[in-house]
Amino acid sequence: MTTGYSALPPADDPFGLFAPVGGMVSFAVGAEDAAVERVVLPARADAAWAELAAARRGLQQGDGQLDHAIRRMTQVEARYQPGQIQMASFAASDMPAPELDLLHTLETLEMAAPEELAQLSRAQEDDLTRWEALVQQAQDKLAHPVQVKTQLGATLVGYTWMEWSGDFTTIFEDEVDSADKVIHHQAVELVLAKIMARLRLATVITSGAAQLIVKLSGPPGTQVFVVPAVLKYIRDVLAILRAQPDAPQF
Amino acid sequence: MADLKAAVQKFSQELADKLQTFINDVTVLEVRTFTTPHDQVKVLLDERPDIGEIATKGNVQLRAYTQIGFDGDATICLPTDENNEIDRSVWDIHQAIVAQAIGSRNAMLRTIGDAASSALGALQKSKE
Repeated sequence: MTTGYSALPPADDPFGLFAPVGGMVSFAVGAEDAAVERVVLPARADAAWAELAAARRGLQQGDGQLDHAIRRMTQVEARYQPGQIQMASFAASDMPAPELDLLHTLETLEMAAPEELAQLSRAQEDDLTRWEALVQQAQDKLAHPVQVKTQLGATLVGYTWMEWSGDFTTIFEDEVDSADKVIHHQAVELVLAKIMARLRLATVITSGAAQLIVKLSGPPGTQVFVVPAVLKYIRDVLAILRAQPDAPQF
Repeated sequence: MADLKAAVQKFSQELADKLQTFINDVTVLEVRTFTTPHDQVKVLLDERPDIGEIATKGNVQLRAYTQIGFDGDATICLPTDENNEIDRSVWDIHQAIVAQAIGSRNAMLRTIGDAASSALGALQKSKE
């Protein structure tokens, strides 16, 4: 089985979107590029339910953290005044590190010293790859129906094919009991939520970068550095939130 | 880096196109629930089984069907067992899937609508 998406180390994944949720979902691409989401759960129902619940909690938490990151991104957009970045004063303030880092990048782009841009370009390579992978995933998802196959242990209990127009086709094995059908139903819901989260993340980064690009006063060509800078910003904010899951976020 | 602007525009345009497709396609919602015998389940293990083909071959049986029009009109086919009683084991989950389909379609429209709206803004700005 081949993987159709750029692989990134899970530790660097900004939202847990490339990595399995709770170790349960894997992505595969079939011969005709139709993405199939396989949800492989433990054979025991109670263990399967526990994994589904953990995955649901993880997604809800990730969604809340992304809301928080979006609010902070909006504040950065409002605060950024081209030509007026004063890193020394920002650094002396209590501005968090991700904001300082992003503003420093914007300041570098405004000054556009060739050697600094070259250094920035090298530093951003990985984040650019991440953004391209994220957007490619979103585009792939939009291009094909969503297919979900749920396994309890080695047993396939349900298969759902969902068109983007909302039509659902589901197949259950005759002998699958009602409780296992509900597990498949819940797994489909989780996969859909995960796809929506991925689309949201790709859009947040792209539109956030666009807001800054339109204000950036750097010379032509420097705008392309903003997208990976915004991805890094969102990734850094989410990493901090994930490291302090109990801290107040709103 | 040179292709980045094009990539932003492509992503934004595709979201906008997808939203248009949704608007064209959401007039009717269809939910189909099939069952298949244990010895036929292997056909589902293919990466991309052709539902129409395997249904024609008798590998799967359509047990419940719901069609809901944009105006709220619904067509429903109920599953029955050998005693001509409603087969609750299929019907209950089919109803849950119908509710899920309605909820998912609303969530997708909301997410894609928000995304397309943001992306269109990005598209405009990237063209400036």
